[in-house]
Amino acid sequence: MTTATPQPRVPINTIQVTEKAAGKVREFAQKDGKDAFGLKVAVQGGGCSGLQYVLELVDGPEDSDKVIAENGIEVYVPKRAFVFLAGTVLDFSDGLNGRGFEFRNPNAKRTCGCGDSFSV
Amino acid sequence: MTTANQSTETSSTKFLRDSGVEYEAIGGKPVAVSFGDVRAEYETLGNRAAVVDLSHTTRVMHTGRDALDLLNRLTTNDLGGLHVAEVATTVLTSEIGRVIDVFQVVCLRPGRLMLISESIDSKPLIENIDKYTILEDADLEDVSSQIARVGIRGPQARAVAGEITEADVSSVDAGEVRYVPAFGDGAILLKGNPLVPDGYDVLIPAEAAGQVWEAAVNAGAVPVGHHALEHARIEVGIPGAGTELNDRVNPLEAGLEEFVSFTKGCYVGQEVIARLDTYDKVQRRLIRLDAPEGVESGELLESGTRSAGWVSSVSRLPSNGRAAALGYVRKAFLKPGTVLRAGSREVTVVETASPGAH
Repeated sequence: MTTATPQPRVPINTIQVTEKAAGKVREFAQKDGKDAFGLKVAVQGGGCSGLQYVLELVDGPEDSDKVIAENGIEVYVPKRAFVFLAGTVLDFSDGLNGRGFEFRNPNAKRTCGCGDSFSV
Repeated sequence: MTTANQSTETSSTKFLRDSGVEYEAIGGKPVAVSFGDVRAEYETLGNRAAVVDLSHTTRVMHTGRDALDLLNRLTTNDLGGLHVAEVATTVLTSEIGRVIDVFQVVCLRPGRLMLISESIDSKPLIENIDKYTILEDADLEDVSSQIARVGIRGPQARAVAGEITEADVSSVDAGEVRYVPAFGDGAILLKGNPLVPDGYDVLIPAEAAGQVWEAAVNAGAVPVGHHALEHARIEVGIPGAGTELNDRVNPLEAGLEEFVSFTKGCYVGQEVIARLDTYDKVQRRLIRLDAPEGVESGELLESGTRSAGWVSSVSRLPSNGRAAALGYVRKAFLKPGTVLRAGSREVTVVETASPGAH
């Protein structure tokens, strides 16, 4: 378990998707043959630290989703999950030791080693 | 969404009223501690069938499409393959791998689970599942006062459980949960706490619990209270809710390895528990102790000037000076026969407790 290091602030009324992450999302959507899509970003119980991130390509938002446009893609965040994600940056780390999609979440007090799970 | 239904009454208070039961308040609930002769009750557990009231313990209904998946993500055992009419035991741990509760998960039907814990206080279990229920379709309801739990224990328990429920006990022994059309609206028969030998539980609507009790007594079971059960538990080295199973320890220290999956992936506390196992970093173990009169639970254990652990449970039968005791002891002092000090008294290490072996 590691302690989160301070990161540049993102406004707390949104989450930010970096250009690199947005590009990867488009790439995965293309592979799946999806023309119209959005990125669902959510949180569920589980993982080493109690809460884990959920990423999913979906056709559109649900009524209870907050919709955010970022770097050419739409991001859908369930309102009940947004409280855990406000101000988060979604990035992508590639290469041999890359971790894939990475969350820099200012609400996380602890993050597990693999970076997929956090506690607040 | 959670419904707490904490009560100072239990479902047994009415039907045990004329049975000679003695109650004591433990953890804010009345607990049937004795039926008049603790020593005789203890002996019953070793040579006959006993009927025990477990109404003060925790039953929680966990319902919803995502309930089982959520529990699988939060707790130590691999519950992914749990089918209807099966039961599994798992441990809810904190983010740092400490025990919050140990409980059985009974799959009544898809999306309907009953969680059964030996804990008197249901709040830690409910609150620590509820706080991680974000978007899941999963609700928790404390049904401890609506669903009674009557235990059948001892070497003749199997015969009594079969007779009063007319159920196929061999399938229950194999880990199945049986619905039995007895006692009016029916009941559920399952193996009791898996750490207890010869244990069966009957779950039944509270208003019909008296019928189960009466049938068990008519079939030859003897009413046994909490004091005798506790003595037997401590004597064979079974960790108790709150005393040995609490947030001071992790599941490996408590000897609960059989309820921990090291292959299923993440759950809350997994990173810490996996590291303890991989690098052999478990610092202490649950141990059976031989303790003279005067030693109390909670006392610190020392070897010379070194801290060695603590005493977690002590029980004495009437007219028996030496006590059955449990404690957590550091690895350096686990050898049977090792003498430690609890204040001015000498306490001897008997052996490492192996809860699953009983």
